[in-house]
Amino acid sequence: MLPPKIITHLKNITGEENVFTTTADLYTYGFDASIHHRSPEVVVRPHATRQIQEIITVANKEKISIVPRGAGTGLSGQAVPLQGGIVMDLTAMNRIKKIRISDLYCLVEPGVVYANLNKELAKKGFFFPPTPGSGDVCTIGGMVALNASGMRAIKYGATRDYVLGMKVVMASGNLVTLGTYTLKNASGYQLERLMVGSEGTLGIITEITLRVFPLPTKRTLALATYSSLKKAGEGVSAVIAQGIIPSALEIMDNVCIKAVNKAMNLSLPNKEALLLIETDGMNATDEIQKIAAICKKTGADSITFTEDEKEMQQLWRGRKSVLPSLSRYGDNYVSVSLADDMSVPISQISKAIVAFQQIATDHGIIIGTYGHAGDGNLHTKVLLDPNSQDQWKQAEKAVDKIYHTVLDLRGTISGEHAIGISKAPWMQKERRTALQTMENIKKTLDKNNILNPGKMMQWKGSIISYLRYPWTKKEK
Amino acid sequence: MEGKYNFLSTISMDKKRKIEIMSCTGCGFCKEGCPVFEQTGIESSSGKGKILLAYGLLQGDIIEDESVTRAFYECSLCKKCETRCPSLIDIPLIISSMRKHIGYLPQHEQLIQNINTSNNPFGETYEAPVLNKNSTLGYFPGCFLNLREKNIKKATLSVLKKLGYKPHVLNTSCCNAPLERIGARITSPKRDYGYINTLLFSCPACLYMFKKNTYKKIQLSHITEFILQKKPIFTPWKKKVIYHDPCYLGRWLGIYDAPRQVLQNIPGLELVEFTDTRESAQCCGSEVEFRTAFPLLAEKMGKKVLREAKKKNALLVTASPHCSYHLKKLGGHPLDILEIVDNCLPLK
Ligand SMILES: Cc1cc2nc3c(=O)[nH]c(=O)nc-3n(C[C@H](O)[C@H](O)[C@H](O)COP(=O)(O)OP(=O)(O)OC[C@H]3O[C@@H](n4cnc5c(N)ncnc54)[C@H](O)[C@@H]3O)c2cc1C
Ligand code: SF4
Ligand code: SF4
Repeated sequence: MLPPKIITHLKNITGEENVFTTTADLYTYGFDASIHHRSPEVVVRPHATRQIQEIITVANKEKISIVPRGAGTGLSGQAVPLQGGIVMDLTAMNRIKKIRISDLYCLVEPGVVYANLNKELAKKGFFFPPTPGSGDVCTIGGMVALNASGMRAIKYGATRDYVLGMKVVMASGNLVTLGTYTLKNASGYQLERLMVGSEGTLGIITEITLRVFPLPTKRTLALATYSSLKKAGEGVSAVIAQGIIPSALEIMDNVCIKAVNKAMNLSLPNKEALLLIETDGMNATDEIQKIAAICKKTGADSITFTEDEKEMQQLWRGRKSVLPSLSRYGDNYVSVSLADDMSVPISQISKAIVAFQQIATDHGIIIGTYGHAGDGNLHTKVLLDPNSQDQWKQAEKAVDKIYHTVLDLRGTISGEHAIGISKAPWMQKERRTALQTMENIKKTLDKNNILNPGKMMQWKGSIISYLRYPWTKKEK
Repeated sequence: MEGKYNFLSTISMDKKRKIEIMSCTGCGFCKEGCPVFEQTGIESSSGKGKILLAYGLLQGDIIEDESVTRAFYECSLCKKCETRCPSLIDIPLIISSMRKHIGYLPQHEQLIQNINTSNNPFGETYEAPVLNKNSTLGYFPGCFLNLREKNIKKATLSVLKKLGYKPHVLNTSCCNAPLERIGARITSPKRDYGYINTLLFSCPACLYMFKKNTYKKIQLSHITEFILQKKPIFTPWKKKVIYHDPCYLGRWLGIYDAPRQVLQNIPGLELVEFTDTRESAQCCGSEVEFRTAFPLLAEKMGKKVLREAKKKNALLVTASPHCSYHLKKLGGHPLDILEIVDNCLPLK
């Protein structure tokens, strides 16, 4: 618990109703959607940039850690406050300040929920394309801080491709403006880019300027089924090699298909694998036909199409629900985010998926694989008995093998979910030569190391720590 | 050690529920649309927050204190989160189970005492029930119709009379829904069913409690289902109305179509919908134990419903005395569906 005078100070800054110290609040703000948990000592909910500056000034003087937080849907423990300290809930800063279609940008506060922004943009025929699976609840601030993306990244790119500028409160309490309101800018260091993916370790983003894109006139969706996972993977590379860029190309393996059918009461074909392929724009129908022909050639068992908005939504709902649905796959398993977000060169997808399955078998665990195959980004979920020390240990070994496979295939250990705690040891391997530079940047911008300390390059040891599940609880 | 899950706590909860709690991935999908979270924006208000608190209590990570107790009651049990959860967690059921283990809020004491001593949440006495013990058709008005929304009871009995029925109006001790929701101990009252084979309800909460608890041999129906079956011919009523799904009738009992069809059978009536409707309908915060403990939240939730009805320039109609009563107190003018039916049903 922080000294009462700090709590009083925070209350003076934001108003008493925005400072939370009860058991219920501290415990619940200690979770995100990862395997980790640690309660903060206080939660504070600012409503204005000025308040953030004052809070951070207090924290910096007293050397108290601050973890900025959006919706808490991060999958690697990014918003879990390892040192307790302050969790800063930014969801009350949720105003869409401007939508300037004629200049192709919008200006938002960090707490705006992704889906809400797109609802407003849609009224003007525009959208902010990254489409993370958590888009109905996650915030723009969280997306920027993690460089989130999603199923439309293959055609439209990731969050970083849309960030034109931002305002950031630095650890010193200074407010800096980075980037511009223009589509192009070659005016100095691209520091707004540095903040993208910074995971709350370099500053607190209080305003974001995002590029917006016109909504496509039309969308078409195809569902291709395969009786071999390997063939489905090959299908993906074959589609991409033809030079047609779909607006989404998703893969689900049989574990995922079964889980979604059970949880969501859907009836996706019970095959080894399926691909969901979307094309958009004026040529959507033509393009999907061409893609279908390629899928057939590469061994798809069946292909069905739809342009019906409801049917497409239903299929996407199934896809978006894979991650949570896997948690009900078997009665004694929970699904945990470990090695959940690898990206490999597209031509290596098939090899990667087959290797993951083999690793799972070797270690006696279940792994469900799905993801944005079209851009090489694969998600896996490990299903395990959270009470079994042995399964956690096996899972950690399997994760290590998976990451090594990915690095051998010239991939990256995270395509979009970012590092936090759960991926830190392997990012440290992948970015070996950059670690010192990262640490130098961190030290320069945050001398007292108060901003989300202990994550990414600063993490040490096994990731099976700060577990929200029972095994280490017994161990403690 | 229970099964494969090592929950430390002695709180008794069946294994299936404990596993459900453990299966929460923390995705937060249940926040979207939660009427309480929408107002407070804090984690402990959401379904996710409450599931994690249940987990914390079961694991012994936290102990129940005032804030934890309050968090479990700061929920209207509207069931919206359950429709959102892709991990199939029955969030309201887990909240209800936890309520059985933790103390009540001070605001609930009087309610519990009133029901235990006077058989209704208001601590008042009933007017004598109308009895027609020979009828095979029964009607259970419940506390709210007897003591507050008497207009709905009057309209319902009038409609039944016009349709040629004189029901056996059941002795009306409380259906105990408020106690059930609070997690308090319930003693089932003795009721005299006479020759009833069909029992009708205006209040969806009463219907739910009866369906849940007993009476397998008696057909239990909401009054709108009964009216729909009888296919009465209505006189025209040229009004634009918007139908508010009560949580108990909709998400708890799955009755969405009957009230809408009854309204649509009235010539000239134009039925419009809320933006969030049917399974996604907005909860107005009307349940008695919720609005007693959290009046400000309940007010904001109710006013949101009133605002949208006003914006759509439509008469607000609903099918629960709880919603009517609450929305009237907030300055709205909701009609119960039976009041409209009575108005449009000519005498035989
Ligand atoms: C079911 C599910 C599906 C998902 N699907 C995808 C997907 O398809 N693609 C994808 O990329 N991710 C996905 N994710 C991961 C996650 O939802 C996203 O990364 C999301 O962008 C996180 O946003 P948030 O608001 O929840 O951030 P939080 O989890 O609250 O925070 C994430 C990080 O951002 C920092 N942060 C938050 N706000 C600020 C700010 N204003 N300034 C500085 N730092 C800040 C925090 O300190 C933390 O380090 C998914 C998660 C779930 C649970
Ligand atoms: S039952 Fe309703 S009020 Fe309660 S947590 Fe779920 S959505 Fe929120
Ligand atoms: S939607 Fe279900 S799994 Fe997701 S946070 Fe809520 S309760 Fe947990």
